[in-house]
Amino acid sequence: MPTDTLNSLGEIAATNTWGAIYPEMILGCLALFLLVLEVVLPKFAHGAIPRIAILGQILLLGYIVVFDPSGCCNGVAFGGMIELSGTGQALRIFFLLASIFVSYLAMVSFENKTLARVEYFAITLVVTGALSLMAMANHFVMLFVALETATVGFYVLVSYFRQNVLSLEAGLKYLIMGALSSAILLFGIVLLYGAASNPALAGSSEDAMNFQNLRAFLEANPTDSLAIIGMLLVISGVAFKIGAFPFQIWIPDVYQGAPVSTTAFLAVSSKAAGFAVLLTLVKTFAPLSSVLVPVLTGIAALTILFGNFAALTQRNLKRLIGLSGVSHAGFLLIGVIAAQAVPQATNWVLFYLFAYLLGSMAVFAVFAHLPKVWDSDLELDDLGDMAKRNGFLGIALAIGIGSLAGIPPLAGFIGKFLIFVAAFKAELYVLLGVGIVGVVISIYYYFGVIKAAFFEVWRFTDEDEEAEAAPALPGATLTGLGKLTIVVAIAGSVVLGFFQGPLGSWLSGQ
Amino acid sequence: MTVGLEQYIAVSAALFAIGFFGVLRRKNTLVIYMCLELMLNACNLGLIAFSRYHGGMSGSVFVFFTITVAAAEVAVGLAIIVALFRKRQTVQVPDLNALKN
Amino acid sequence: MTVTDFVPVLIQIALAAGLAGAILTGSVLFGQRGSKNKIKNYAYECGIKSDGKTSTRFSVKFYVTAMLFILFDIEVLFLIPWVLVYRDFVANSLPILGPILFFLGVLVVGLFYELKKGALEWEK
Repeated sequence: MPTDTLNSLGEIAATNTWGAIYPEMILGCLALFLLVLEVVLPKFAHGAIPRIAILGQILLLGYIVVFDPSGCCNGVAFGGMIELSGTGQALRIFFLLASIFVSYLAMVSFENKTLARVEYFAITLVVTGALSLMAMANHFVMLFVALETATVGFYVLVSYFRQNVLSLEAGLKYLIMGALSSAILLFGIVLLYGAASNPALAGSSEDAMNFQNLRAFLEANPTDSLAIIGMLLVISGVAFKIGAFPFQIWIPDVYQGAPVSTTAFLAVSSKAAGFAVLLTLVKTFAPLSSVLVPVLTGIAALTILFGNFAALTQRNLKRLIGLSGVSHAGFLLIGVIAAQAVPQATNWVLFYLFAYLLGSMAVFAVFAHLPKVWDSDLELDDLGDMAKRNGFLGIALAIGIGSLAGIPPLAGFIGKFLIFVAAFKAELYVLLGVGIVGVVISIYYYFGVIKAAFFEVWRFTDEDEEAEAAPALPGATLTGLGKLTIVVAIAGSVVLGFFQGPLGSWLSGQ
Repeated sequence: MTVGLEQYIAVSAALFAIGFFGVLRRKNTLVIYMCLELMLNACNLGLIAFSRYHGGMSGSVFVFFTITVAAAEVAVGLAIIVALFRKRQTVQVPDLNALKN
Repeated sequence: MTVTDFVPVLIQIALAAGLAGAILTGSVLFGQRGSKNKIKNYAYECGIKSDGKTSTRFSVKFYVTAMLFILFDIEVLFLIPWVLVYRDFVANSLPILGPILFFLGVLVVGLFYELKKGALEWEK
């Protein structure tokens, strides 16, 4: 091997700061440890494994928040593979928090089923680590590998209820759609690589998949058609993952069929990771923004309108939340577009994601406690005067849904408000208008959910049916710990609505 | 006539298109799955061709990862398809319609 | 590369087709043929009539084994380049042993898990 190659390899090896990615390494090792525990421990002790997983994650999250809230270092590491930044650190905390909620939801919803229980938690940990690496990716190889690690994990998580046809079918649909989007993304990467590694063009580089090198190339050749097609394919691939129009077709089916914990995981973490990637990519593709911005604008407007209109007539709860999630993706897209002109908008997107996390988790936690064997069958009517039968869950649902709808003074309102401010500052008036229309429509169906939970449901009253008592709530036992988890989610929504102080200044103070 | 980069890329794009339309049009899940693999392999061919003709190794190295990823996808995907077949006794897409409004 | 570089490939294809053609033609020309009728075309001329489909369903165990094989097989992909550069890296004191040991460690944990779960037991 030539000496200069070895020297440059030595330089790359010197940038391998393993200490900077300790949370992901701990998550991976914890997952392996859980698998070993499963085969080592006797059967009766298996109940402890989910608790170990959750405890480990809480300890890790606590350590990061208390001792290392802003990350150890900034800049690129691992030979340009990842970029450490405040945004990456914030998303790391986001994914960990989401993963704790997801593990808890899984624990609750597996209670009354006969299943292999342990693998779910190990896969959740691996996926969380992969998502957090994906958010920090600075190179297409890193991006693709992290994305696929997460996606393959999600295939398993979606089809986890092996006895349930709906879960398997959702898994198959997610598999085909996920693999298709990965292939499209990969072909886009191939074309970008082909354009940017061409030594005949100015600004080309041998390591053309590095985002900085790619950006330098695009600045030198802003009209290269191969690169533009590649960029559009890459954006399509990411749009699949975040469920933006016209790539949202898989969302309702997969959200309905998947176990409720996986639905929450997909809705929150997977979407957030997609937006983290999109934020990075929009920066990389900035020289092509004359093509990129109109495309993204169109996608954002159609996503908001489609998500809201499709959710209007929906009776199935998980499909409803899935479709409303599509419209949230549209709002986030506005933030991403605005972030090109208004740099703080990146932090506002992050704030929106945190608000969305807390609201969604409260709602999904309520779903997990509803009395149905398979949560795919949950309908609006199943909420029937829930507030009377279990006041605590009723309030949790109201606050969660209210935050998602953006009712002041909850966190979701501040999130939407910040996005609209960003759109106004970036002079995206059309998107601003579409966004406001979207909010108005969404309030209608969100209130449908609250109405179903709080007001007397008109039932077809027959003399005989009168005797049939309504099913007792909750389906899964609501333990003290469960109450605490839900309280954390709803308290977060309320507190962030009134007082964004530390989180807000921390997000913008990077 | 010489076989150059253009020909390789044309083949790669053609394979990708065959795979893509196969995924959209075919009804058998296993055939759809093969089409997905075809798309990934089309990408591999493109990466190798660009890497070879433009100099530089990063394209070739990337292929290692895409092959690994494809293997992982096959393993998980086949498991899901087999599980679904045992439950439903069919792998035809039109028959898999339990999830509907 | 010009088309002439592919001549060996063409010769190979021609040889393969030619050989197959020659064998078939030879057997038609020189082979002995009996009378053709329905009974002669059965797989067995006498005995019990064969029953059932020609394609039988495979046991699902084959799929499981095949899946596990693919997963562990692919890891070799990373080991071969590793072997090729090992000496150069060690001579220049670049990190090479630690990462691959960790990689293999993860694989061993996977194998251990697989064994304990009974995925490799054929008779169950």
